[in-house]
Amino acid sequence: MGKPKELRILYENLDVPDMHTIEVYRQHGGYKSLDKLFGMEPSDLVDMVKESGLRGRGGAGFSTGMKWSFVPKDIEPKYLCANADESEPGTFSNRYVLERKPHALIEGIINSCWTLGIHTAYVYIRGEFTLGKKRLDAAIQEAYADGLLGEKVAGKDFALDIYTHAGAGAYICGEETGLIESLEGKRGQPRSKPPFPAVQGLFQKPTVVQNVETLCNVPLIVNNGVDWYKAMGSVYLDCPRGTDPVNTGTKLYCVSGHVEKPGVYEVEMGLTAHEMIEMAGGVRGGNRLKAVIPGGSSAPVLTPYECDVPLDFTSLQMAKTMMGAGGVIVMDETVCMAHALTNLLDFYAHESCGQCTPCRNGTPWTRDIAKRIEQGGGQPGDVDRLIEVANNIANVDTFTWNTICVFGIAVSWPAVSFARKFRPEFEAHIREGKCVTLPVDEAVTPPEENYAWPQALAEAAQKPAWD
Amino acid sequence: MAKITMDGVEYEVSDGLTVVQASAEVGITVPHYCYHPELPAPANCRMCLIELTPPGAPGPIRQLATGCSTRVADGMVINHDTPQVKAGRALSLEALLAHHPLDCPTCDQAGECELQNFAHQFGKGVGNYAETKKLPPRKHLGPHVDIVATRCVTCTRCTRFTEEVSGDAVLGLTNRGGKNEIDIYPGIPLDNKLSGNVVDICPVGALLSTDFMYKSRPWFLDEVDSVCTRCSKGCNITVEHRDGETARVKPRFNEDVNGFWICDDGRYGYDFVNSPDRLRMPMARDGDDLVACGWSDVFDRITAAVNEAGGENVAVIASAWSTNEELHAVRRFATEAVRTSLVGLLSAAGDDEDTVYPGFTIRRDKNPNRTGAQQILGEEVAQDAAIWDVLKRAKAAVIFSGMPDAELSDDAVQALEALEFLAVVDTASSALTGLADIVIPGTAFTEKNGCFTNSEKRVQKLNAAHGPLGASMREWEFVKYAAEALGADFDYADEASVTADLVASTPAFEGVTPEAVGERGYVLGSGEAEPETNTGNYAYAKMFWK
Repeated sequence: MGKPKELRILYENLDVPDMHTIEVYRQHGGYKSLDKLFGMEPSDLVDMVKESGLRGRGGAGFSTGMKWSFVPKDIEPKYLCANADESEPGTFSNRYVLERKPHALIEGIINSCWTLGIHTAYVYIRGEFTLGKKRLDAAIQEAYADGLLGEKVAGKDFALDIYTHAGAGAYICGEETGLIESLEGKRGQPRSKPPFPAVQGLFQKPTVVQNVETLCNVPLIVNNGVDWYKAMGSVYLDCPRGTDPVNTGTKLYCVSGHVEKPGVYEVEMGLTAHEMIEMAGGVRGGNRLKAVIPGGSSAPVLTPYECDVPLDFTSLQMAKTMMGAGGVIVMDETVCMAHALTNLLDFYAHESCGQCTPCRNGTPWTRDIAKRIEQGGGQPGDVDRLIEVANNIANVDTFTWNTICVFGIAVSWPAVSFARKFRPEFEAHIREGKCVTLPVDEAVTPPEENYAWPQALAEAAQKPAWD
Repeated sequence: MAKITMDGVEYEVSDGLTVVQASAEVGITVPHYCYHPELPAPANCRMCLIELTPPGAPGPIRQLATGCSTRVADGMVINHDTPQVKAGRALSLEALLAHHPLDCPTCDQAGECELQNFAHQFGKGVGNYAETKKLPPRKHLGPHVDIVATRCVTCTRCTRFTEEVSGDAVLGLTNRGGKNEIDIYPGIPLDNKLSGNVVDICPVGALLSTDFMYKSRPWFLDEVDSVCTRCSKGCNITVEHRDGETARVKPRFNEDVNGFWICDDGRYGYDFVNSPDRLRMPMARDGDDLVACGWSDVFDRITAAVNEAGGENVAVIASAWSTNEELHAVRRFATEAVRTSLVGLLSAAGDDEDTVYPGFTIRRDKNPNRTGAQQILGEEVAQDAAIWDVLKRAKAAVIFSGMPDAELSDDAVQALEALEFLAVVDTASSALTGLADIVIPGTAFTEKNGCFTNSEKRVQKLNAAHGPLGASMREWEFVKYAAEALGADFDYADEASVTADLVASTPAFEGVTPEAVGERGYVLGSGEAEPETNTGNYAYAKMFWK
């Protein structure tokens, strides 16, 4: 394969000065997709997106074309919500789109709305993105002035309005139904599903909620064609039933933590965690790698033994972790895993909406146990209790949960994976009654204890369908 | 009807029900806290977990469904007893109890607490929580309601009640996650007229009635079905009593009248029943004082007064707070014993208009039985201020009241003072008794059997919770003896015989039988009784409400 290189298609020309203005954006080929777009039938466009294999970049990785095909055609009005509430710890790629290339999002929204017959779109922006919101609002004004939004989009008989809405600082408002509730002016609490937003969403009308990155991919597919898009990334022939084998396109990986050059890297999906760390300049100061969280803080952690896994939806799912929103958090040998977990769980205890019982009471409970262990107050059996309490919120082994939304599993995944994969370090805390950072080899549960990235799957993952 | 299979048994249940309701219909208890049939289901307590196989599906869906948000459909298969379901419910309970102070010995809810009930039936029996418990403070939410937030399970039934039924949304959640708490907004108390209902819908001991606080353990209370007297709506209530005193009033489900709710006027308006000012024995005027006398004195003096004034000059004023039976006896007393046409109907002052909430209406007429009185005494009977004109034409009068807090206008006082003789039947010392020559102790609604007719012409039964106070007797009995003293013969042995006489002699009451009235009441002229039912919300109410 050779050394992986960055491939900027979403981030193309991101660093061009004044790229956030419509003038510069147009000079660099912006809004070109609209010429092709309005010449195509919406149903063909849905098929095109389906065929491209585009998967939602927000976390779940659900096929975008499939999701769009569920949207009822005969119910009006319908809404599109662009999810720019990027709040998963370890992710920061949408932010740059909003701040530096907001017209890419607008173009994506126009493409998607035409495809779905939607005339009103909302952009739900994380409240902390003040510059992003300012730039996007300005870009929307430019687009209106340029005739790209309003009664007649680009002179065609198609009306589209875009509104922006700033969140008030809740992680859970990134969950699609929590976002919808918040957008309706209510407490940001996810809804019980079914009904799904595609059937009953914003104001009880069919609603499509898409991540910024997903939306930005749509004009690229329209512009350059399905084949061009499918040539990027990988498709697996040999993966378990129920696993989507398609990982086309590029992904914006947000690499943070103990690497020399943290930042956003746009690459074709399929490079391994090790390669990703190499691309980001390697572990800082030549330190040893201790752990990698591959997809934002909710994703189960990987030990150094597992870092051969390709960072794509399919492989990470088979490795019992997830792609999430592509937040790669790298930890070196100086990190105390009990402290890292406490830090994460503190975040989740603070961000649980408190609506449903298992999460409301279970999340602070796991945090309290982890904190007790970290501060030296752990009792024998506490690691098992931590795993049990976390599994009671959402069971990571059976992949079942009794909570309303998937926040529950977002808590138990890190909790259980940290406690299992770095059990010796947690046990050392309890044994010594104080914070102990073990050397990497001692801190990690030996890989033969059946958690590591299985070799057979690793081989299967090395076989992209077209090559 | 929908055919569903639950725990391997096929059932036919009513259409459109949630699984919680349908299960109640066939006698299966599905534990739940947040769900209430009259409120939207947020599915947040995660107690009513079920294993669900949708119609036509090859097998159960992998994640457990919630019985509160799933509606039954033909061919649905539901399991309440798989290991996954049992574990799920037990785990939700464990989480709910994590911060619970387990202070049942000092908690008013103990004995009627769903945490106790469901923990006993569905819980693990042990809790593993070993961390620090939250200790949110106890707060006053309004004049009738306190919150002991340590016991709260954050089911949000109360907040949804204020959003959907009372409509003022005064309750809300503050903070987020494990720290969230039910509270009011600063300076806006929970003081709407439906506030007491949040205590009923609170499944645990968090929201407590300041009226009932520390009064009695619920298991010491006996209860009877009754009807509220505080307006003409005729809300169905349960009177809970102990040792001859009414301890509290709670709503009783009736889909056609009040649903699950009652207003605070009715809920807390029973206080006059237990008042120390209640009359316990007949009294006669001696100068400025009223002094206790015997019943024979009462009948003698009334007889003497009627004979002296002449029957046609005696006014008989009935009460819109009396039961149909009492009104019938009073009507016969007036026409057959006293032989007068000076009849009027005393009523309590009402509001100018109904008090309308999004989910409940309080009637403007503050008399429980004006409709019944009009049917028994005639539509043209003198009412409201017109009765004082009737009195002005009389020399003597017998007035039935029984209304707490009744006030007299100047016109009324003038008319009453002009009388040569006034006998008043009342429950407590009042402006009326202050002017009376003879005061007869009456019974409160908790002390009598009979029926009211509400403003929708629905005849509903009330049952005596306790006996008449002290030496007092029920009004129909008093009327019977008073009539006999005047030479008439009322062949009444008990309330049932009065009812029979009423139905036989008043065409409007055709069809009113104990069976027809039943638990749901009987609409006059409807021709058919509402069937006793154990479906839908009635089944739900019997299992989880009252």
